[in-house]
Amino acid sequence: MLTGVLIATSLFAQQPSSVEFFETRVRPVLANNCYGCHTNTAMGDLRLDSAEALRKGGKRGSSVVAGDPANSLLIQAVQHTIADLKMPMGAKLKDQQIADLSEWVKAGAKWPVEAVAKVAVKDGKYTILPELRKFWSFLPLTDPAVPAVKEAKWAKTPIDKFVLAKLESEGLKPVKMASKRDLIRRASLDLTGLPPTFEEIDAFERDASADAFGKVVDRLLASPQYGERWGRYWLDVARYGEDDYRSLDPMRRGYNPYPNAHVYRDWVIRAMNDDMPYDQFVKAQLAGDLLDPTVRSKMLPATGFMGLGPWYYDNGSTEVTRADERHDRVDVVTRGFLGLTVACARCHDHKYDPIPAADYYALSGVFVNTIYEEYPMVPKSVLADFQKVEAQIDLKQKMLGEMQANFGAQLSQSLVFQTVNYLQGVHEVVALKKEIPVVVEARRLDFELLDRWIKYLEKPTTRYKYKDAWQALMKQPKGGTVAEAKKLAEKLQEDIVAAMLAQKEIEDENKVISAKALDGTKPKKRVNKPSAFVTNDDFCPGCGLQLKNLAEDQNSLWIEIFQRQLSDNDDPQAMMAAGKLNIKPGVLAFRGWALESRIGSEAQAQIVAMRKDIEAAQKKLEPHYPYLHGVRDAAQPVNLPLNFRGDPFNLGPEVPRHFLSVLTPEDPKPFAKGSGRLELAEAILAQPLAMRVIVNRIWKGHFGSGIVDSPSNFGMTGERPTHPELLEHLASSFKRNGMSIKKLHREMMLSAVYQLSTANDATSLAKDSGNRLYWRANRKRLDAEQLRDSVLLVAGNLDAALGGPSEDLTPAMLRRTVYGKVSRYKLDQYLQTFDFPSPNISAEKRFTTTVPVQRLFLMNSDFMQIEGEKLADRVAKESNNRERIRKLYRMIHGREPVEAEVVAALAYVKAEPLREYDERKNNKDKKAEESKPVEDEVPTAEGDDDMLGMGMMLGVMGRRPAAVPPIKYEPTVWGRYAKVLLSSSEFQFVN
Amino acid sequence: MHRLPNPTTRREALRRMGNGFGMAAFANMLQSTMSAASDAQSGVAKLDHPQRVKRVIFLFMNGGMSQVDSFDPKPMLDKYDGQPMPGGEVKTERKTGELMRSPFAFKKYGQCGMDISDMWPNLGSVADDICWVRSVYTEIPNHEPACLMMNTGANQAGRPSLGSWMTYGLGTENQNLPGYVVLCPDIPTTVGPPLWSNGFLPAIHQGTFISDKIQTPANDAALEEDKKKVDIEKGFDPKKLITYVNNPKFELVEQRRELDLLNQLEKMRTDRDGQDPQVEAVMQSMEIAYRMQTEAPDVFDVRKESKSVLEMYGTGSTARGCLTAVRLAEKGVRMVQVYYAKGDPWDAHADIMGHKVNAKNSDQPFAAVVKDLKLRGLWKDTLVVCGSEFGRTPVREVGGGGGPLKKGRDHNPFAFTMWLAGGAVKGGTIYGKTDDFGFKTIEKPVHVHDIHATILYLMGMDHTKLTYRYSGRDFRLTDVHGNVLHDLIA
Repeated sequence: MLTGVLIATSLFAQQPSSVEFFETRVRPVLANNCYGCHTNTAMGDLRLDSAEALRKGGKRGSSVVAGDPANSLLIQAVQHTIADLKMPMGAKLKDQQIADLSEWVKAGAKWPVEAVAKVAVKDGKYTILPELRKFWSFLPLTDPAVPAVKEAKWAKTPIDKFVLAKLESEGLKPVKMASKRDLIRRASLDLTGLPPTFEEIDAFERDASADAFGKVVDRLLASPQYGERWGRYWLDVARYGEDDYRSLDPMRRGYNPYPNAHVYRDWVIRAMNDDMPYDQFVKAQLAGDLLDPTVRSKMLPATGFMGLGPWYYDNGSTEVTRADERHDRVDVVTRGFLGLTVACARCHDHKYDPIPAADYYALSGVFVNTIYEEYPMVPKSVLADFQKVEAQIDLKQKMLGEMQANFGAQLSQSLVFQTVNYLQGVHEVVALKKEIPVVVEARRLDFELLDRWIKYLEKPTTRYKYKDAWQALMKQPKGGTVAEAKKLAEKLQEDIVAAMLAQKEIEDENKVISAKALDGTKPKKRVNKPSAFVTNDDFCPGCGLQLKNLAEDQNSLWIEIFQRQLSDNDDPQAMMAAGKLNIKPGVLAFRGWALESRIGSEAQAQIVAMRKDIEAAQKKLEPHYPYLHGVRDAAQPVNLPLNFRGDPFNLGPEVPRHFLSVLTPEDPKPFAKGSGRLELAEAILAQPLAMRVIVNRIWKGHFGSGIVDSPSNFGMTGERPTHPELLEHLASSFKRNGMSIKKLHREMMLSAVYQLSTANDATSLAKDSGNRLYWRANRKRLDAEQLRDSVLLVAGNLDAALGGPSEDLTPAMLRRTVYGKVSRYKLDQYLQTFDFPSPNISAEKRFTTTVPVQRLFLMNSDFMQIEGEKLADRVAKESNNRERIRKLYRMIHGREPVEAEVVAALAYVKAEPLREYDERKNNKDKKAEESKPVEDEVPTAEGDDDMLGMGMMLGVMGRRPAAVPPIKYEPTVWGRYAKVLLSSSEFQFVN
Repeated sequence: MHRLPNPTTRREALRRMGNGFGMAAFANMLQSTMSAASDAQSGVAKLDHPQRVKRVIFLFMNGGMSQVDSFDPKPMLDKYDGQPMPGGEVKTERKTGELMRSPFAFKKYGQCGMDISDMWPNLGSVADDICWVRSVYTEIPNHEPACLMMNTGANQAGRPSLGSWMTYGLGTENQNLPGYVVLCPDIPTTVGPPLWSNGFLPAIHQGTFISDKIQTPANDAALEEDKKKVDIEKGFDPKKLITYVNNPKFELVEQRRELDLLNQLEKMRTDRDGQDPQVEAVMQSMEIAYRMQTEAPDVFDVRKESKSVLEMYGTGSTARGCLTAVRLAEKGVRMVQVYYAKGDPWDAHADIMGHKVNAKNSDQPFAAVVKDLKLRGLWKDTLVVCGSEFGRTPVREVGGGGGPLKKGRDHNPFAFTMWLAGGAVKGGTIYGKTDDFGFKTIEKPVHVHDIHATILYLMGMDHTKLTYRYSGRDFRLTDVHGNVLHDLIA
């Protein structure tokens, strides 16, 4: 496979005068090395982005002499033959690149017509010249005639003739057809993500009817597992994620989940299963909330496409983060549906495609009017009740807090005036060495409070001098006289009262300051929803205010008496980091039970009653009513101004919301209905491009490579189709068939091309090692979902229930992987290890990496061993080892083992329970007596989950230990044997 | 890897194969199938220019350490203490008030006469080995975007991190260890995993988080006693740290037998169906995986260090982290990052004196990294980078957020100090300058992108060429910015 990619381009690069040569060997070199200075910047007055510009040249004159590389400045510059003209700056091109450029100049320096930059700025207006609209992917849809082929018998369908015609023209031949076993395994894993059972394979092999395979395809397409597989393909494009990284919410720092994200995921799965016509599928996701009432409720969940973010909340200035969110929307919509990289035009006109920055802001304007909305999925009355209770709880909690604060304030304010009495008590205990209980009794003191005063007065401080005199007195023999102590006690009480009164005054003032800063009459509530962050004040109400403060020493005194003790290193953050957030209350500050026990039984009863009331009300809110995360239109739609260089503070003229200019024959009309999302969806669906993009995605899903292998980029920098006519044919028939994706699958899978084997052919490999011409089938490795689901299925452990909330992918999670949590904050390690795409950006394809961590998962994860044990259990009852091996082969590989495989297995299971094994077991038992066994330990530290590379162990080891108890198991020889079979390439790959 | 006859396809190859763990294996596998691999000798891809350093240790003081209280003394703060800062309102995260002098005393250290506060005496003792960059600035005065900028070159989460770009560009020297390791006692640090995410790069390039937490005894008295000891605590078990390469239920001997059986079965299959390079690659990666199981726990086993080494680093999790970082560097790990603790421990809004505790825990280990790299002969090709996501204001914070004490400083994105050390940078030099109060950079401003560009440069890579095509565009660590700070390079 690897070699294939490397040599793939050679096939298309023959004649230096050809378009292919230019596009693969010349233009990329110019673009990557020269365009930085020689396009709009025109350093040395030179542009290198059109034939005319090249001929015209710069200050030194024409840069190419067609047919004469030796005398072309361009070539001399890259060859470094002229001392003061060595290009590119600070580097030299590869010899091959220089040779290519020379070849191209020698062949006449032909600049293909379609590649000329036909964008002109006329009178400040960006004009797309007609030639540019002739770029292949913008052209109207055609329905080309099916070509004639030599091997007409081989070709079963029109697809075959298109493919074969190309193969024949290159002198290649398709390899033999796949075996029935390989074919049904391929089809099953392709369509449902699950392997066929032994019985299904057997039945298909026995079915000699002409449409045997057609029946298999129909059965698979009709199974609900189809939607789980192909829905996930779409979710890659839709950058489906179930949370966002959220920074400044102190309660849930770093992680903001969308609890009902699955409603969108399930809608996608269902739409695939229902074979929803593609136009409806697109419209629903862009504008489900704006559709006709008859379908609106069914389509509303689809708006999760935008409602699930990414939202960037308060991660930075609101102007920039909101602009970043719109960037995401423009990106996913244009690449996802149209295969155009419009988001590139955020900071400047698109460098390669005819997309002016104004078009970016025309689309971005649609999304500035698209607001996050949570749609309740309950009747209005239920919702109203819920909201009423919720609002009441908020108020009650606030009242309870205020009540406690008031009681606390009253208590400490009354205790202030007993300071003299307490300090005299302190003098008696510390200086006169009287017993504490005696002093408490005599002076009628609060035991704890006396203790607090003693400790407070002992502790040295550099923050103020109020207690210096007292501390000095205590150092004298017998702590001075009683009269002296009383005098100092009175002074300190006076100071504390003064601080208290001054603070009271300042607080009143601060209230006025805060109130003045309010818009309206109600204090601002902390907002939580993605769209609600409009100003800095929204996430930190009041943080921007300058409130008044006491003088530093008086302030410190006040804090130490009424709030909390201060230390030299008084920084809560630092203390927390040192593992000691142990804030001790101020001398007169009582909270919680310490407070309630001191305020009298009546007040105490009030607090308890209120608390109980709140708890009861909270129970009414469980469970939260279901709702979905979607979007709605803004009440008053607005246009966005152009942002120069993408800077939301550097504004240009307002841009009306409209569709892309290059895809509109005349000047695009402004969108007139609300945000314009529905009009946008309709405009997209009217595009031939939209049809080409979707059929190509489906094709890539089946064949491994796309006809255009940059599935989300059909622009200038994207690939050109390997089979342009086939793509036209597929797009046309797709449209004709009512945009049915299932029909498209059928059309593709019943072709002979799909049914080819993965066999090799030396001649074909040498010519087209990347198999871009489909002379054979591509061998594919199971992806993350296929692997985990297949293991569960063959072990008889798969829970086939459809839909519902997502769960952590622990070994206890037996549902299909598509129902695992998809976090943008921290993607599950299993998914990440097996090349699941990042849910932060729309993914056009998945990569297949081969790394040892994947093997470590297969070797060491609890998941694999547990499923192995499950398989072992299922064969335990067989009469003998041969039978057990045979049954395992049937379950895992869907076939009978050959004799050599049986022999190897017998040797393995016989040799395995060795002395070392028993010894280990004994040692373990011994160890178990000494300490708890390691494997049953659930680490308590909250960080432990990340210590594990294997996501499937997460639930066992860390994140929510309470929710998912670890599965206990002991590995056996048969379990390990089954695991080896699951790890084999026969299981891991699809032929 | 970004300078090959056919960069697109090579890049494609890398996407498929990954590097980091098993880069060497990658190169080996390619050698048998393609000639293009000839530049990938011993796991290191072709470089843009000579490589000055092979690995990076990044000591990250998360939360925002104050430059004016540590490495950038400002006598004017003493003079104008309590007065408004000239030049009008300071726009940072929160409300700030008048200028506040530093409670820390400064002293000159080393031949270079670097001014360092009494928070950092040990670091002062190696001042001549360090290049002090006083003019770093970033963009946003909030932890999250600033942490993301420092670690991923972008203010929003989702981009590949510095370490990921490094292993993507260079692979690792040790195929049996992760190429990029992150050490912190607990997560989450603020932001957390996105700071060491591979973003859209292949998963193999993600940072591997490992806790350097000290297993503390339950009661306070024992804790106080324990703090003074450098002995490794009883409960320490390197195998537990890296559960992902070990399952306590399996013994190596059993796994060897599993692998042998699998090899046998695969051979039967190859004989039947013919060879396939993809399948071969998978089998090879399995052998590497097997070896990783023993090598990885070994390198984390700090019990193997001598008493004198342990004493050089001192006690606490930062000491443990720093020592582990050096051990990993020694074994060829490309980048190790040591975070101080979870949350924003250096975030001294309430009282700048809070820095005292943090510095006490960091000073000795940081200096030990410098000394130890020399002892181990790693100095010349290791780069140590140290800093925070931003600095702090010279003015005191007065808004509601910092509590009533008002002796802290707010976030300052306009200027802060970072330091670089190692044989490849000019030790004992000061780069850049801030204004009289240490609020803004006034000479040789250094954006975080410039730091990244310089790190990549020292690693032998051109930051403008280290690109990854994703979603239709070429992404870079430095986006469209970044200048290499050639003046710092020795």
